[in-house]
Amino acid sequence: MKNYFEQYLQNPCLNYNLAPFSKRMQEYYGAFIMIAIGLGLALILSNLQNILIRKRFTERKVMPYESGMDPVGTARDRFSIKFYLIAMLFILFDIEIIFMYPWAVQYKQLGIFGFIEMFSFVLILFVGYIYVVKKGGLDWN
Amino acid sequence: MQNQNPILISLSELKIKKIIMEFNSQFILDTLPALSLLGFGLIVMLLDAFKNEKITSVVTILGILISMLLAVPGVVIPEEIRLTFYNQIYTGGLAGLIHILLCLSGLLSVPFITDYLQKNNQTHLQGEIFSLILFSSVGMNLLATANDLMMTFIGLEIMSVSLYILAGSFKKDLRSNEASLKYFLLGAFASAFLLLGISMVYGMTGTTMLDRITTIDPNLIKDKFPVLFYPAIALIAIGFLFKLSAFPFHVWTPDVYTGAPTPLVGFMATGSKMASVIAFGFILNSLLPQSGDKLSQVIAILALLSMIYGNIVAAQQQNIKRLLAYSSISHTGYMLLGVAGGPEGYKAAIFYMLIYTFMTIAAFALISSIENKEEDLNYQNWSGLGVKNIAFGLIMSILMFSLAGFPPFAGFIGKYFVFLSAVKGGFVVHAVIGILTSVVGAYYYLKVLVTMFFEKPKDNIQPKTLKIRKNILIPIMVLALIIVIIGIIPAPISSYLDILYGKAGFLAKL
Repeated sequence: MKNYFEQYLQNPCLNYNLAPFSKRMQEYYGAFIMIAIGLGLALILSNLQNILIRKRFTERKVMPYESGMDPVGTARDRFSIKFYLIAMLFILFDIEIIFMYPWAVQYKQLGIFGFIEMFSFVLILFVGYIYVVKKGGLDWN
Repeated sequence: MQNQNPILISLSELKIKKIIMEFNSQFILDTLPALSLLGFGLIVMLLDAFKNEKITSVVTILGILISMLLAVPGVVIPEEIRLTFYNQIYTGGLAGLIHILLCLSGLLSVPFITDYLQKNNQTHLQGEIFSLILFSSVGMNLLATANDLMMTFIGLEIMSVSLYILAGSFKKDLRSNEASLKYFLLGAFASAFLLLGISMVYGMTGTTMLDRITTIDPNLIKDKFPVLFYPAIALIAIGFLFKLSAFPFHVWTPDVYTGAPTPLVGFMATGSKMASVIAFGFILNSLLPQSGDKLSQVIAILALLSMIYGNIVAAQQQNIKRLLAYSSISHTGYMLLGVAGGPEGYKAAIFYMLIYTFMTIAAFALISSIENKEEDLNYQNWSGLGVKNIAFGLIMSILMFSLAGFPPFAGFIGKYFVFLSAVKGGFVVHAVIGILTSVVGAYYYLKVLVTMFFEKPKDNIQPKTLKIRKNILIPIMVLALIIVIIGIIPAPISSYLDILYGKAGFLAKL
């Protein structure tokens, strides 16, 4: 354990700046390709519809999309607080999936131990879900 | 650049085998104290959901007691502190005692909260409040016994988020909402500082495990990373100093303590502070070279400023909750002086925290017993109250004398140990000024008593309910008795703390 710190100081991440610039850039090639594909695809698709479709404008169609809300009006409008509540609860229960991915990747190796850990995690969330339902968090009226 | 990014390396077979091997009965037994708190928190939540709020207080007390009992075997027969939960938290010995002390602050405040809610016709909030108290106790436990800095942060967040909600638990009270929002915004900001500090420490040492970091000579880190070293620890310190409401980071304290429901303030002020002091002292002592270091001198100065500021401003206050809030800033100063004074002072700070818990919970509970409207909190209106209601007057005197640090009571013993360790640690000037500020403290604590006992009663403005209800009178009396007993015979507890501290492994050798 004594030379743990010395080992750490040999870490390539720490001495990163010593490597030549071109070599450091190599690690980012994947990211650059990803950005290029993303930008290209967006440009192609957004222009494709201008080329391919027939344009028939109606008032509704030209309106900016605001999830069915009227886009023009005062910004100080009053919303029902239920929108926020539903959105918040959605995020809460949506995030749990992210924690399941690493477990799913290592499922075979972790075996019954991983299963118990994940089960207790989902159990806690489930109690939260029961609480939300019973307290009327999902009732719209 | 042949080395792979360490984040991308998946868990190797070997590591997984090690993880599964550690998962045995001993592992479950070690983690059970914290897990049982969590379990009972969930049970209380379900009871609340199925409309059984009435029994939640009993279930909460039961849960905390079970959790404390589970930690008792490792404490009664003093055992070595050891790592568990994949080296994430400490258990046994001193860690067990810390767990019991933290649970105590939750346990003691339950009867007072029940009574307060009944008085304000808010009994439907019981389930929420008690489950949050249990969850925040889990957070405190993780924060105080953490070995990994990430676990420290997670514990701090579990604790704080529960406390933010607790501060605003009276939803239709504007003051309560204000308290909650202020606490949340400032607290979230402070947490960011802490996290940045932790990431810098990780960058310097390559690990977040405190037991590993202590094996490295701090001077070596300082030589290798001269620019990062102090900012990193200072950022961590800012995060904790905020939670402790030390001087330059105290601004939230008076408003939050005034706005939040009174007996809940007792819980907020004690449990979270105790956990933060323990974690802060532990991290500081692991990271800094020695007790006379630059940064510990800075913290000693902040402690001094907290004492001066807290005591002088508290002397101007009329509202008793605000007065106690400012006095809690000064008490933070005493604890920080201990933390800055090295391992010996750290022990004194833990002892001070224990006494402070009893005093503060009892004080806020006693105030809540006569509080009906805003004006009841102004102690100028309490003239003659001490004579009219002997029990109230007597217990208030014990608490005020103890908070001021008068000899036969526990507060004196706490201050004595802190100042003793400060003198031993070389902070003689700080100790002298600290004692002088506690004289200022005595002025305003005694002013409350003078108003209560020696001024003529003014009937029209006095609080209406003078009678303390029986179900909270007995717990308050027990607390007052404990304060007196610790004040007269502190030796058993302090020597017992010494034994546990001696068995605290590398913590004692720091």
